Amino acid sequence: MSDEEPSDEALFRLFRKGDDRAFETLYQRYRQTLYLFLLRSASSAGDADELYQDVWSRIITAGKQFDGGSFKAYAFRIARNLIIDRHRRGSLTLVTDLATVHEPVQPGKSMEEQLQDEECSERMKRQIGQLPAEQREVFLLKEEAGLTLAQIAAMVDVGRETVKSRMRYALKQLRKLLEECL
Amino acid sequence: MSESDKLPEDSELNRLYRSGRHEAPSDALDQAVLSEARRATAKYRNRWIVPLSSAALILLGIGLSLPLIDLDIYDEHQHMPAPAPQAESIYESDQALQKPALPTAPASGAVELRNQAVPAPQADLAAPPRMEQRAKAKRAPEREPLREVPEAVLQSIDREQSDLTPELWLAEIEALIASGQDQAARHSLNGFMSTYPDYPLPESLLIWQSGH
Repeated sequence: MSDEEPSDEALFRLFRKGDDRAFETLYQRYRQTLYLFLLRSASSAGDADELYQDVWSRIITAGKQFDGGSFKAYAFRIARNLIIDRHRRGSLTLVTDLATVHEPVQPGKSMEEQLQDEECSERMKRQIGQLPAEQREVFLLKEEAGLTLAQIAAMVDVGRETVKSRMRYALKQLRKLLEECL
Repeated sequence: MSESDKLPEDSELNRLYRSGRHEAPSDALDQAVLSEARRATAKYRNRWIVPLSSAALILLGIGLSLPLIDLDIYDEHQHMPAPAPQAESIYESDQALQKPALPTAPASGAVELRNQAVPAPQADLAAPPRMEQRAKAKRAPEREPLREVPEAVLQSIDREQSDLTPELWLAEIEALIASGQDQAARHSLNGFMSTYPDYPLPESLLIWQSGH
């Protein structure tokens, strides 16, 4: 983000004052990353859609609860809490629904290479879905949300070493299962 | 950032993960979220309308009622039964508002005292409007004295003399006349006459009174 672009927090404040365009900018910044975080966590496009709308709804209507810290951490905390709530109620599908995933054709690659890439990509998504919830959560908060160690530790409410340990286990497991793709 | 602040990384896994990031929310989902946001911003914008318009109404009401309240005060004053000689002119009655009337002095005495300080009657015509006079009186504490003898002195004389016997009081009045303090003597005599209306005045005082 360049210096001239307003920060997430500044956009959010503008939105709270009634600025539609500030919200649209903010929405574009987090549109895909929030959706993917939910999709990888829920592993079902239907659940992800529902959760996605809930997350934004909370952001829009519960703006007063924003503590003035990082907007990114705030948004992903809402997403994480909704996933946990849904999982506790037992209504969250944790099996990857691969049929709903759309993969575009990649230019400059042979059909065989593209098929292999797609296969590896799908396998990775499936394996992420098979990781223990604590490891998957840390992996996605790092890879998708781009949160720091400190932010993840604060959000998950565990020590930094615990977060690092979960991440190491997640990477080790994924590397073992996806060795031929790497 | 030190090494201990970093999360473990695997660049190959990271690349593989990135290559599969193609999914995105549908247009319908986008529109649903953006519509909700627009509804919310409309609310945020409108939340000032009610308090602002209420405040504006209150200010307008105060602004309109203040002059009316001011006029009411003057109307009441005009409708009050006027102590006949004191309300000869608006200018005088306004001055009477500024200056409390002497409790023991009869009306005729007050007129006499004022006549010494109040300029010619033509001044009434040249006097500024009542509102203006009132505003001036509020912001300008200094004003032309009504009489030469300070009011406090006259009041203290009143208090002291009302405790005296009629004989002693009359003797004091005569002493004031003898020392040339005509105004104080006249004031004191007026007080005496209102306190002892049936007491016969000595001839010397009657002569002095008729001479003035």
